[in-house]
Amino acid sequence: MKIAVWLGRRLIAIVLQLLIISFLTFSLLFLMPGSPEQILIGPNPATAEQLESIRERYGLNEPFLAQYADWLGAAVHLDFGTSIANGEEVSSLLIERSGVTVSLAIYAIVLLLLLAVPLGLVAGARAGGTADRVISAVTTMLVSAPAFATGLLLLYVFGVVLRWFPIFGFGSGFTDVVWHLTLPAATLAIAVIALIVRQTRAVAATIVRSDYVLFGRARGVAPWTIWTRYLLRGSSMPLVTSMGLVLGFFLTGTVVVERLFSIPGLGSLLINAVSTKDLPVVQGATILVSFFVLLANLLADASHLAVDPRVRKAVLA
Amino acid sequence: MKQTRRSRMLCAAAAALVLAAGCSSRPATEEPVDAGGSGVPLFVPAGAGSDEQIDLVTWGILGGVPSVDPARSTAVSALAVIATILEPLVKVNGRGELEPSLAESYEQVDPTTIDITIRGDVTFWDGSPLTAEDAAYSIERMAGPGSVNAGLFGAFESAEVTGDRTLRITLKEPSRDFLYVLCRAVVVQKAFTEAAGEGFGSSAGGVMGTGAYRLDSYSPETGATLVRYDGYWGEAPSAETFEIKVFNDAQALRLALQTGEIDGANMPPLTIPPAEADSWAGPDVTVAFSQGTGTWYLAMDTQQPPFDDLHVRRALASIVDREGIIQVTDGEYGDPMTALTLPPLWTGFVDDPAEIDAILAGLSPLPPYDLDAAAEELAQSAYPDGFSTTVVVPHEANPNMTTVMEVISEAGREVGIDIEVKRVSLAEWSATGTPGQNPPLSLSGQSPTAATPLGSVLQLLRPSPSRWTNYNTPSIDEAIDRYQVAESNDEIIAAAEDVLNELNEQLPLIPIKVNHIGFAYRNEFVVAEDVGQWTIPGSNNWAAAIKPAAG
Amino acid sequence: MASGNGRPGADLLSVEGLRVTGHDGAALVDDVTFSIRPGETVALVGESGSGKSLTAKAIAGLLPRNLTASGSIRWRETEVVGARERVLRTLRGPQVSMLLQDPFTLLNPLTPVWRTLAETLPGRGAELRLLISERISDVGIEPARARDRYPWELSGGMRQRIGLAAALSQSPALLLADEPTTALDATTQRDVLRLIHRLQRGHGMAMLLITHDLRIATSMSDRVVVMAKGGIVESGDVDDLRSGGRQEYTRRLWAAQLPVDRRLADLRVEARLDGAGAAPVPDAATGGAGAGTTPILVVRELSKSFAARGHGEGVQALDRVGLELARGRSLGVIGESGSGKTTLARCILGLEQPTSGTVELTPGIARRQVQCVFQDPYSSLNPSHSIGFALAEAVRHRAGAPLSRREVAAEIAATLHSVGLDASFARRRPETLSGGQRQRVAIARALLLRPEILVCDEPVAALDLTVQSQVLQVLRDAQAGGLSMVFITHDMSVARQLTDEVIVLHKGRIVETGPTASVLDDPQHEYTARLLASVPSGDREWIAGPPLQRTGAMTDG
Repeated sequence: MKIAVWLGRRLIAIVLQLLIISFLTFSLLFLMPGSPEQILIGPNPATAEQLESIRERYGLNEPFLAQYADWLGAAVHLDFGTSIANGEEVSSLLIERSGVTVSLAIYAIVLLLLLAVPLGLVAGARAGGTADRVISAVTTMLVSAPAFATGLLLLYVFGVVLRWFPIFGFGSGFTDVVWHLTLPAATLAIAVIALIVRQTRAVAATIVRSDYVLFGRARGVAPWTIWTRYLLRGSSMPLVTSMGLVLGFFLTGTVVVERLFSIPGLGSLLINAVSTKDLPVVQGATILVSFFVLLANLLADASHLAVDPRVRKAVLA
Repeated sequence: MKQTRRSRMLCAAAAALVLAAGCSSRPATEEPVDAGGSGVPLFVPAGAGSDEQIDLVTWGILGGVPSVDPARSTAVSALAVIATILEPLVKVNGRGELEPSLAESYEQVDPTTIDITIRGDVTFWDGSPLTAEDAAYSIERMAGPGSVNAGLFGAFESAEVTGDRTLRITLKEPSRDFLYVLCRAVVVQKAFTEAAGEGFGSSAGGVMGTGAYRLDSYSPETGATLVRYDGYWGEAPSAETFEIKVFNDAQALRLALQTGEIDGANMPPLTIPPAEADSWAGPDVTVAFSQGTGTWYLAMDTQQPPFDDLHVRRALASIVDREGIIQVTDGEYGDPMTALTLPPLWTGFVDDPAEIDAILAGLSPLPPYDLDAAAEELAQSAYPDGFSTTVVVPHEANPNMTTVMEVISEAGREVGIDIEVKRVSLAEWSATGTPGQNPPLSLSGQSPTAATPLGSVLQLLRPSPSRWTNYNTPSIDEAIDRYQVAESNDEIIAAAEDVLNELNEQLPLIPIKVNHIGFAYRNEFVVAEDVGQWTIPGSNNWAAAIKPAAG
Repeated sequence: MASGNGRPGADLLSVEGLRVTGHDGAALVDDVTFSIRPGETVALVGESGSGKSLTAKAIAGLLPRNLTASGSIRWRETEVVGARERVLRTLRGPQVSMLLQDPFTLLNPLTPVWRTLAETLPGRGAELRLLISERISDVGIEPARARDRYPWELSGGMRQRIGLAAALSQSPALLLADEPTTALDATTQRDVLRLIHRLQRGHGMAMLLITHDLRIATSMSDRVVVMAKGGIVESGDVDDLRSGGRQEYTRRLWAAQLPVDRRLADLRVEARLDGAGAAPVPDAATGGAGAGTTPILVVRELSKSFAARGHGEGVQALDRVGLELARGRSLGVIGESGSGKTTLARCILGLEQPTSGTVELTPGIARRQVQCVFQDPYSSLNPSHSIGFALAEAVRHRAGAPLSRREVAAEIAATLHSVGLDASFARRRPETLSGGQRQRVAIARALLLRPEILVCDEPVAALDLTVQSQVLQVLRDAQAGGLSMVFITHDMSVARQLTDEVIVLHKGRIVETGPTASVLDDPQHEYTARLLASVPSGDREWIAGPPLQRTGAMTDG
């Protein structure tokens, strides 16, 4: 019951945030120099009649607020209009792209968890030791390489030389998608691995030195329990918060990876739409991406609730 | 999809394949034709293909396919897909010659009237026959105000159906280029197009055409799957399925080609540093370069100070270091221009490449790169102490433009010409040149409208909202009129020479350079047609020309 | 029973020549030898830094990674020094277990009580549930009240009991109890010690009890090992210790114990050792010059409640508390944790806004003339500045007008001297000081501000006994100099030595008030009596008998 109230409040907040974001995006795009019809015509010579016809078709001659009201009125019915650039339904564009982006982001998160958390735990548990120093050095090196370079290297080594993974595209069917997305997901994961390793390491190092771990060992608690219930679970609390942020980054900051691996994701859709001032697409994609990011944060908070009984008590009391 | 200057330049790249002549009866030439003294052939001759049937060819293109509606598409990547599935009435072959395509014949009745008879054996993919109604509709639609190509069809008046298989096109004014422009009016089925409405050409709406391949599925960001149309009127292509894969990164495209994940690629030399162009070739991959027709030039508004002063324009022309620019931006994959025309534009009018070279060499020379001369010109102008101006460049979209402009700006500083190179967003850049915002000086790249001697230049002199030169004189108008109605090649050449000479003397436009274009394919394949550089995208089914290598 | 498989009379634990060294090779524990027989209780007594905790950790095989043990530690036949973790792991729990000092950090905060216990208990399902309830019940807690709770929902005393249940879950032959009750309130301490004692009897378990408190050692143990600076000072029968010990060091430890039944003339250990200081004096004798009945501080009807987070009930920290502090006198506020004594101090200092009631200072006394000394000497000094810097800041702040460097230095030197520190301390940094030294610096800083009233909140609770005495004497001297003092403490012995009057706070209310001597000698309220009874006497009887109360409430301790 209380969880429902909490969730309800959070969802209302998300809706309000989306409303504000949509208005800001709309305003910024409106103020941005350039006009979509001009971009649409591209290199060809343009006629005044032609420009007017396109403006008329997309309601670009209306005043700003009327345009926004039109957009909002349709958007609440989940109708995001059609792309000025190609007449595609924005909603179908978004569905197509978000499937790719969300799969990629989730895969990258899974890789990140599988790689960074154990490494961070080991480094933290053996703080100051050889393993710790090697892990810290390697992850720091990885994070300082730009995603483009990492991606290209992975692509070259695993795609071209070893030919273990395909080097472009998205694939169809679960295993094929996983196979296609492995290198891009690894590229994304590597970009933030040091952050998560460091964070896990810091928390794990504190926990390892804590009284309750010492007490646990002293009274004969099995090592596996110490590693999982004490170290892993204890480290996971700050981790879920950063995971929310990382997931947000994975949903929006993937343009480089999308380009490199020719994956049709939301990032490149948004960038392209902004550069061509394709207003319906920018609006739709911004709303969707913002929604994902806000949802990721909600998920992080919810996991925080699930993991930490103290937070649970504080929030739900 | 970004409509970048770069993509304009890339039109040339697509055209290389687009214009492979589908059913030319001419035998392939053994020797590549060289012209322009650059050592790069005018076109790449056909390879020896086998008639073996294969299941699948996978081809990579750079850049997404926002739409397959020809009236919506200017991006080279989109045009490359459109060209594989939709056909025009008239097309340009690999050598730059007009040929009938869906037209059985065409006749220029007088300078403003063209009669066309369409073939009787053509069906759309749904089996229904091609009608004159469909053809007229397609042309009107392409030239109408809703089309992004409307500006190209400025001379077009109307297309009337005159019989079951005949139509008549009427022009507002004589146009030498019109038949070449008509190559862009690929034919779509009227009933299907009207029914699809706004969704026509989208991934959901699709298109209905007559090409050797029909569109099976397509997505703006991943590419298209094309399946052989068995009812095709012409020669059936080799591959049952032709996959076009979209890449957004040149390196990824190259790696995919080298690993064999794709069989070939339209190679865009402009998107990779010159030093890397060679890395495309390998033991399994053939790279073929030919001369391009995408021109880079400076345009000035000749009615705005300081560029209303010929001395200023001459001074500016003298600070353009073409060799230096090419060295930085293209390496060995570019050539300097001597006038706003290129050898490949002349091949339909002059048989001997050596003669083309001679004609171009005989034009009034452009002021050479010479800072002293620039200083002298400036001293004679109304601005002896120099002047300042600004050029905007869409840096993110095309960093090469920034480079070119900065080389020029650097030289200008030596003589007192202060050119600020201002980096702006693509959208902002596109907004310049609209009515009331004509920039005094701009850098542009443009593909020719037609494979004619003045194909690159006429669109720049025609009044339009994006007109940048404001240049018109009675003498050049007279020469252009003469060019449009001329009946013999000699008259055409003479009129073109007059126009180009005046431009080189009065300098409303300063030509800079042209890029080579290339394509790359795995050695298991050949392109079994002559591949020319014609820059009229969307005129032919280039995919059909890709065949398994013989032997 | 786990202890049944050893030969009768054979040592359960034998430590021989144990040496613990750090990275730099310095010995933190050196040449420690003792043994424990089955069922026996040995107390390891020492002040902080004596190496007693490290000895316990070495015995458990749980030294921090950067320390190494040498010599020999045997659990029955198993050699611990140099043993593989895999071997020790299986023996911890059934053979040797350990209980740590701080109940607040002892238990995994993410794990409810039942799961903590389940971690080392056999069985599953209903059987396990029954066993868990039994074990919770064994430590004197109603199972239903604790089983599904998280550690942070329990009081310190309950946590320590749960910790005890967890430590004993596999019926170890030997329990290493490292200061198990030091962090608890006095009444809770006695309950928990009685519980440990009873369970130990019940299990026939041997125990190594590590404590700084001689009276607890003598109450609980059969034999005593006294440690100082990493080595053994003396070891022997508990009766030897009870009679004062053979070594000078041990006698000093005894001397440092403050009596609750009389006021000492001089609190310093040296003075008490030579007899003069140990003489009792009348309780009112310490009143300084100008001491009288004129109130300098009056608190009336002071109430303070804290709104709870979320929708829980608020907490009534203070409920209509009134007090008067006369000039030059020392008023004691006695209470356990949760009694509201710290809230009272903060209200007096103006750090907390009371919900109702007033805190009035006699006209002419400014707020900044009310200074304070807090419990934690580690957090009250900025680590990046020298002691002299911090003190000079206080002098300049007080003076208002610019003072010469020489004047400031002279005043600092004088004040440092008055708190028993050399003038050279001004050049040192906080991290080079011991806890007692820091607390004296904190007092010096407060004194430099020339306060009229000094509010001390448990100023010696974190210090070793010998150090406590020195610091308390400094405060007593300051009071003799005319300073009025509000002295907050949970320790009845400390209150006896420092205060003229006391009020006893319990759950935010004053339950008893009066002159210190009469309240402590003849308590009227049951709570005051219980507090007095919980002061360790050093006798066996103190620990015998059942716990005074069965703990079920959430807020005990």
